[in-house]
Amino acid sequence: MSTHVVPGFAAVLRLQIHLLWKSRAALFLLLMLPGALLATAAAAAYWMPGAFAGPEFELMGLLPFVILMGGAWGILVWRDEPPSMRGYHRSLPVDVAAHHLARVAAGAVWLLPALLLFFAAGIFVTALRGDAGAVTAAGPTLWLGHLLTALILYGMMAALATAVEKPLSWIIWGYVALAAIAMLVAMAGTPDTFRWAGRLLNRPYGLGWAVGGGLEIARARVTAQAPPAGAWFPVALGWLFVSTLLVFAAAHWRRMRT
Amino acid sequence: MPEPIPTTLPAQDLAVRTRGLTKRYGRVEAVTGLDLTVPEGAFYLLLGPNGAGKTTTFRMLMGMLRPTSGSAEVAGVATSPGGQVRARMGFVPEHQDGPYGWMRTGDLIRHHAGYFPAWNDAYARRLADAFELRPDVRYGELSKGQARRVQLLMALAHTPPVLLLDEPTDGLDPVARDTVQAILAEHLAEYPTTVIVATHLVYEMERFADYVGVLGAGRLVAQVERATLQAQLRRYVLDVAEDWHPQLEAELPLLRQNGTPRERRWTIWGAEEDVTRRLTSAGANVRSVSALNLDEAALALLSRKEDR
Repeated sequence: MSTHVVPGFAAVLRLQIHLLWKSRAALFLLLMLPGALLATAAAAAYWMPGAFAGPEFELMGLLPFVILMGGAWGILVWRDEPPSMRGYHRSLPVDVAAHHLARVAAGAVWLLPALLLFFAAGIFVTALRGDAGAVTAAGPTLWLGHLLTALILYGMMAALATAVEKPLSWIIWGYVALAAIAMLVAMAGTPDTFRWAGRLLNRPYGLGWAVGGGLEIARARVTAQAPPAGAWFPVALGWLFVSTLLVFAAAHWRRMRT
Repeated sequence: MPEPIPTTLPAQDLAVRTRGLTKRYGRVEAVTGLDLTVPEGAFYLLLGPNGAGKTTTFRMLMGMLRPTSGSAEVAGVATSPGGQVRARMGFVPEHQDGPYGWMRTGDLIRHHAGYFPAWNDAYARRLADAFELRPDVRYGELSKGQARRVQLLMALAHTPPVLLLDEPTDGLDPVARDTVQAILAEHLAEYPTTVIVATHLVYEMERFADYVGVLGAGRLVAQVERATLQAQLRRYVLDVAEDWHPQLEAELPLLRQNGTPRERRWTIWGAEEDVTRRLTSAGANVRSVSALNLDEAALALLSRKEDR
């Protein structure tokens, strides 16, 4: 029987995980956010002692870091390899779509230890300040919220970087286009359109709720407030599904473009 | 009627076969209706000037580029964006965007090996020694020639049934070229392989060639066994009167003509005896007849295309 066969997906995934490690991109990811968090905490402690105390900061202060981590990593997994520079990647004996998926999946695999390290750094910082109670009291919802937030944004950005040559330009111009549309809609005075746009972002089904809802619930638990209405977890899972679909669509798009 | 220049080979076991393979970029046709037939175990030289469609053809054979129409089959597998065809091929591209320049050569080879279950580690080490590769140097820091050797190793070490080499000795110094030729000869002796080579440096690969395909402006101008090409394509030196204007176009496939009004040098496709007889009966004195090397043959065949 011929040994000239395609490698299995698991083998390709392992190769891509290893590749991200060798490129030092994974190392950067692992160190980036814990480092940034520790640096911010140290700077805050030195320059503005007490300014960021309390459960509000402990819980919500981590969110921008997680959003940044997920989004930036989605683009970094294709660092120096825009579609026009993937000749070597495409010449390997793997289905084009599966090979692209393997890279994105490898990035997702690295995201998990990076989040764990980040969480550890978060606990370390709050413990040093002597008020880790909020983090502990928030329970698993806090961490699950962070994890899903990072994965959703990672998937969306990775899909963009998989599909297009200059993802950052698309983000910038996409933002400008959306702002222009919003302005035109406002000028035209059609509030219904805003309502529909709001539904994409806000509760009960919007992306903003999927990304921040877990933290809001955790905060409500710690501050003994009433939890925000609306089921968050299924919505977050739904957006994770959308994000995964986008990744599949981008990989398929690259296959179609061969 | 003159014998036409063949563009198809007799039926036999084929390692590569394309049917009407066409690639269009907008209004430009890079490759048009290509019917390539490469017999199993053959060394096939694909010749043609820059922009003739050689690289585009290779990319379609690899399944890296989707044809606009037509189909291709390599080692019994239809080409597609799936990986099956590439698993059976070794590929040295003309230009390589990547592989990862930041990677040390040894790591890159190990990474590449992971994709090929058929990878022969002992053979790869042997090739690395022969090419004098330094595994600790980053790939991006290698000279063009050194990078070429790494690419050759990566193409050969999984002993694929089909090898596609796009300008394999481009950028190599004469010593390195000699090494590549020697290693290629050893490889072919040890492992049964079908090889398709696109090159400008025809003379380097001439000794290996069993078959020759000539591409001009995306079309196959000729596809023929090398022995047939060299038997049928000849240069005739004719002594003629200055005002000699025979109407031989319909009778003889004249591919190329130069010389002076009294001493014409014509390159003609056909059986030597028959061509000589026709030229003589048209009033020319055939002073000499000589065979062409592949470089000259390709040039003659392409000149014919350009004349059309």
